[in-house]
Amino acid sequence: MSVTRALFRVYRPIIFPFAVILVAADVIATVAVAAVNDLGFSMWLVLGGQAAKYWILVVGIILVAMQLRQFVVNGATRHEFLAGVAVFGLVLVVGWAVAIVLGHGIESALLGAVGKRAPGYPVLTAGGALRQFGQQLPISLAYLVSGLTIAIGFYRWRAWIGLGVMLGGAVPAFVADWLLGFNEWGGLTHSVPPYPAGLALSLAATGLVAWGFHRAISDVPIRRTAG
Amino acid sequence: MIELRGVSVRYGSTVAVEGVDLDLPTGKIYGLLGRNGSGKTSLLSVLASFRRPSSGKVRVDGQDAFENPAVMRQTCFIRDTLDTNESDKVRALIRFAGWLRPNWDADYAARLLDLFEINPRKRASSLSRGQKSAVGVVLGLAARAPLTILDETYLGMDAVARTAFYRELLDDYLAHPRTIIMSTHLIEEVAGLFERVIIIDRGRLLLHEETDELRGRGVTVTGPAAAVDTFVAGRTVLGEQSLGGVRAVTLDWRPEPAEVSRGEAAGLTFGPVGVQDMFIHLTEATR
Repeated sequence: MSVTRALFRVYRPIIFPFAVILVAADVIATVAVAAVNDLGFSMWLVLGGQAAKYWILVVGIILVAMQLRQFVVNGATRHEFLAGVAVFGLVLVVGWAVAIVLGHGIESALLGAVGKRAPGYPVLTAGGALRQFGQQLPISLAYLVSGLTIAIGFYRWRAWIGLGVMLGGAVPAFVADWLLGFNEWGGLTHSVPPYPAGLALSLAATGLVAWGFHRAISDVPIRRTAG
Repeated sequence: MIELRGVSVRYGSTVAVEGVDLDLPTGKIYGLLGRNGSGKTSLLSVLASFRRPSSGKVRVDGQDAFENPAVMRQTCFIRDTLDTNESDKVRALIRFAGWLRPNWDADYAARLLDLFEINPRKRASSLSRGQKSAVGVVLGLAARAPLTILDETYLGMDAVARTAFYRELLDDYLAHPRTIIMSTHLIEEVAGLFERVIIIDRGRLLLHEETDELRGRGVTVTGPAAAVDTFVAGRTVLGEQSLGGVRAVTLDWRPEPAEVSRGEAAGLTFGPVGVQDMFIHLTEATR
C-alpha cells in the first residue's frame, strides 16, 4: 500500500468525526444566534475558516511527530513519506478550501431561505466564492507546512534548536494570515498589499519553508522520541 | 551480500562506531555482541537506514541502502523499545504493518499474539515491558523481511516467553530463510541460534567468525598451578582463576591432540570455552 493511501486510512477516523463536530457546532451556533437575531456575519467563516486552520496546523505536527517514525519503521523511505504527505496534504487543503466555500454557500442559501440574513451578511457570489477559495487554499497550505516544519525542528534537533526552527516554521502561517486572512464577512483582514501580491508573498514564504522542511527530513535520524 | 565499508557513526564529539568493515553473506543468523555503549544499536541503525552513517557506506546486494526503497522495504529493524505511539492499540500496529510490509503474514502474526497472550485490543501504553517486547517480536517475525534486525528484543520477557521466541525464530527461519541479525546480552541463552558471531567493542569491529570456529578457538586448562603455568607458557592467556593450588587458565588457542595428551598426562583437564566466556575474555582483554 502506498504511503498516501495508508495516510488516508489512518486519518479517516480523525477527519470525518472532526468534520461532523465542526458542522454540528456551526449548525448549533447558527441556530442559537438566529433565534435571537438575524445573522450579520458568516458563522461558517468564523468556525471553518478562522478556527479550523489550527486543526490543519496540528495535522502537520502530528504527521511528523507520530507518523514519520511509524512509516520508516515499517519500511518506507523518508522521501516516500514526504511524497505521501505532499499528496495527502494537498488533497486535505484543497478539500478544506472547497468545503469552506461550499459551506458558506449552503449557509448563505439556507439563511436566505428562512429570512435570517441581516443586511451585513456576506452573501456568497460566484466571484466571492473564487476569492474565498483563493484565500483559504494558501492559508491552509501555509498552516500545514508550518505544522510540519515546527515538528521536524523538535524531532530532529534538541529543544532549543527546535525553538528556533519553530519561529522560522511559523512564518508561512503568520504571513498567510496577515496577507490573505479573511474575517467573518469574507473580506481581507488587512487590505495592503493587494491580493495578487499577498498571494505571491505567501506562496513564496510557504515554498521557502517547505524547501527547508524537505532538507531537514531527507536524512533525519529515526529517533525513538522527539528531542 | 550486506557490505559495510568504513562505516562510522558520530554524535557530536562522541564516536559510537568507527571505521567498521563487514561482509555479511545473506541467509544466516548473526549474533551481534558488544558491551553496553559499544555501538551495537548505532551500527544496526545504520544498517537499517534509520540513520545515515557519518562516513562510509552500507550496501545490500550491491545497492546503497540509505533511502533506497527496494532495500528499506525489505528491511525490518525492531528496537528494544516498541516504535509506536503509546495511544495505539496493538491491532492497529499489526494492521499498519500489514499495509506496508510486502511479505506480511497476518495469520502468523495472529498466532504469535496468541502464543504470547497479547490482547490485540489493548493499547501500547497498557502493555508491560515484556508484552511490548513480545509485540516487537510479532512485528519482526511476521514481517518476513529478508533482512530482519532484532535489537535486544527480549527485554522484559520472562523465561517462558523468551524460549517461545527463540523457538519461533528458529522455526520461521527454517521455513522462510532470511538474514537475521540479533543483538543480545543474553549470550549463552541464544548462542545456539547464531551461525556467525560479530563482536564490536568501543565502536570497532573486534571479531566476525563462524560460531563453531569461535567455540573451538579457545580452551580452558585446569589443574595444579605449576603444571598449568608450564603448559600455557608462551600462549595468549584470556583469563585465569586460582583456588588454592588449582588454577584454571583460558587460552585463545586450539591445542593439537598430541598437546592435549601431553597435558592430560601432566594432570591437566581441558574444557571448551563458551561463546559468552569468549566474549567476556575478548572484550576484557581490550581494556
